[in-house]
Amino acid sequence: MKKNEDEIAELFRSRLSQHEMPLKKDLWEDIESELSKPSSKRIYLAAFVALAAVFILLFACSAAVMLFVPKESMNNVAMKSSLPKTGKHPIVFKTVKEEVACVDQQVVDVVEPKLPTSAEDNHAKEMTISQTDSVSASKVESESAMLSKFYPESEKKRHILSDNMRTKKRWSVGVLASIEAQLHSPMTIGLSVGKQLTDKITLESGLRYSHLQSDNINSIGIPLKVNYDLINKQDIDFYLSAGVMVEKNLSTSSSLDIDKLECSLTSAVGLQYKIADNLSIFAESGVVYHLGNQTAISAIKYDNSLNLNIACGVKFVY
Amino acid sequence: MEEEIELVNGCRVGDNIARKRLYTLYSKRLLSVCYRYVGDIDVAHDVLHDGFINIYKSISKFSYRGEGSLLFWMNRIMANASLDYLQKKKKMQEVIVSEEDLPDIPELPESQMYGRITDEELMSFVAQLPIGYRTVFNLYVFEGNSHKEIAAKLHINEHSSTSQYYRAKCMLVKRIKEYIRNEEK
Repeated sequence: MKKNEDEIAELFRSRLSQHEMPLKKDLWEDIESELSKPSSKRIYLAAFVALAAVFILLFACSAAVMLFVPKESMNNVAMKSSLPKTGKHPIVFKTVKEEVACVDQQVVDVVEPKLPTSAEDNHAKEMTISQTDSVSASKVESESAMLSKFYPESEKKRHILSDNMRTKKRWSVGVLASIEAQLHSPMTIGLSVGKQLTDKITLESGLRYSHLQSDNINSIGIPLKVNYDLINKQDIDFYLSAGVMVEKNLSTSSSLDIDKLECSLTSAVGLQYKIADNLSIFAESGVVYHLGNQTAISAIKYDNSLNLNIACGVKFVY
Repeated sequence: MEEEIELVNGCRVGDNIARKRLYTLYSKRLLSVCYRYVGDIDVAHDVLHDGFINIYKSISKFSYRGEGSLLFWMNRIMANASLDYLQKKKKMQEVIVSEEDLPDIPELPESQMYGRITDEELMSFVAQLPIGYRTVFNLYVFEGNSHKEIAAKLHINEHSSTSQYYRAKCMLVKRIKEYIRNEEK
C-alpha cells in the first residue's frame, strides 16, 4: 500500500516536473507591451522631473536677467534686496574704490556739496555718495576702519527698505498654466489676483479655464487660495499654499450631465522669483484632491481623485 | 550557470533581450506548471503572463543560489500565481470532503503498462482532477509541501488535505487503468 502510494506520486513527479507545453504565439508581445507601459511610479517620476525642469528654467531665466540687465539697474536691484554677506564684499568694495579713485578730484568736489539733500530722497545716490565719501576718507583712514564705516550704513539702509516693503500690502495680477500628472490631463490656463494680507499671508483668487483635448471638455473654475511665506530672501520667495476650487463644465462632446459643480482641494509648495521691479515668475507643485469624483465628467477628466499638479506663470506685483 | 547569472542581471536592469531570453528558455516549462494547477489552457496562459510580469518586477529580490535556483524560484512564483487565481475564483471551496467512504487506492498496473502513456495524457489526468484534489496533489507531489503546510496555505484542516490527496491518487489510478483498458481494446 505504502509502496503503491509512492509509486503514483513518483510516476507523476518524474514524468511531469520537467514537462513543457506549447505556447500561444502572442504571449511574449503581450508581456513586453505590459512591461513597457509606464507604471504609476513612473508617472510620478515624470512629474518630478517636469517640476525640476520648471525650477531649472526659473533659475535659468533669472540668471539670464542677472547677466543681461544693465549694470546700473543691477546695482539698484542689489541695493533693494541686501548686499551679499560673503567674502564677495571686499571685491565689490575694491572695484568701487578703484573706479572712484580714477575719478578726478574735482568731480568728487562737485558731488560732495550735494550730499545733504540727495541722501534724503535717493538711495542709489546716497550709496554712491557714501562710497565716494568713504574713498575720499580713505586718504586718511585705514582700510579696516573704512569697512567698519561702510557696513553699518548699508545694513541700516537695508532695514529701512525692507520695512517699507513689509508695511505695503501689495496686490498682484498674474497669468499661469497648469497640468496634472496623468496621461491626457486637462490643460488649464488662468488669471490670478492676489492681495497680501500680512507679512506672510497672501490671499489669491482668479479664474481658471481648462480644456481636455481628448474628450473636448471645457470648464471654468474659480479658485480661492491662501499662500503662506516660508522663506522670503532677496528676490526669492518660497511658500506653502492651500485652497479650494469650484469648477463648472461648459461644454462637452458627450451627452453627460454638465450642470453639476465640481469641487477640488489643493495644496502646494511654490517658488517665486522676482525678475524685475514689478515682475515675478513662479512655479508651484502640489497635490489636488477632486472631491467625491461625483460627476461622470470628472471621472473622465481625472484618473485618480488624488493627483499631482504643477503650475507656472508670471505675476505683476504693485 | 554563468548564463543564468548574466540573464538575471540583464533582467534586473530591464534589458529586453535578457527578458526575452529568460522567457524563451523557461516559458514552456512554466506553462506546464500553471496548467497543472489551473487545469485550463487559456487560464494557464493568463496566469503565465501575470507570473512573468511578477518575475521581471521582483527579480531584484531574487538571489542566485546555484544551479536550478532560478527555475525553482520561477516555479514557485507560477505556483503562487496559480493559487492566487484559484483562490480568487473561490473554487477551492467547491470540494466537500466526506470523511466516511475513503476507498482503497486501486493497485497500479505493471510499470511497463503505464510506461506507454504519454506525458500529455498524464498531464490531462491531473488537469481533470477536481480543483481541491488537484491543488493538494500539486502542492504535495511537486512542491514537496507537507499536509500541515498545505493546510496552512489553503486555510483548510490537515485532515482535509490528507484525504483530498488520497482521493486524487485514487482518481488518477482509475484514469490510468481506464486508459490502458481502452488501449488494449
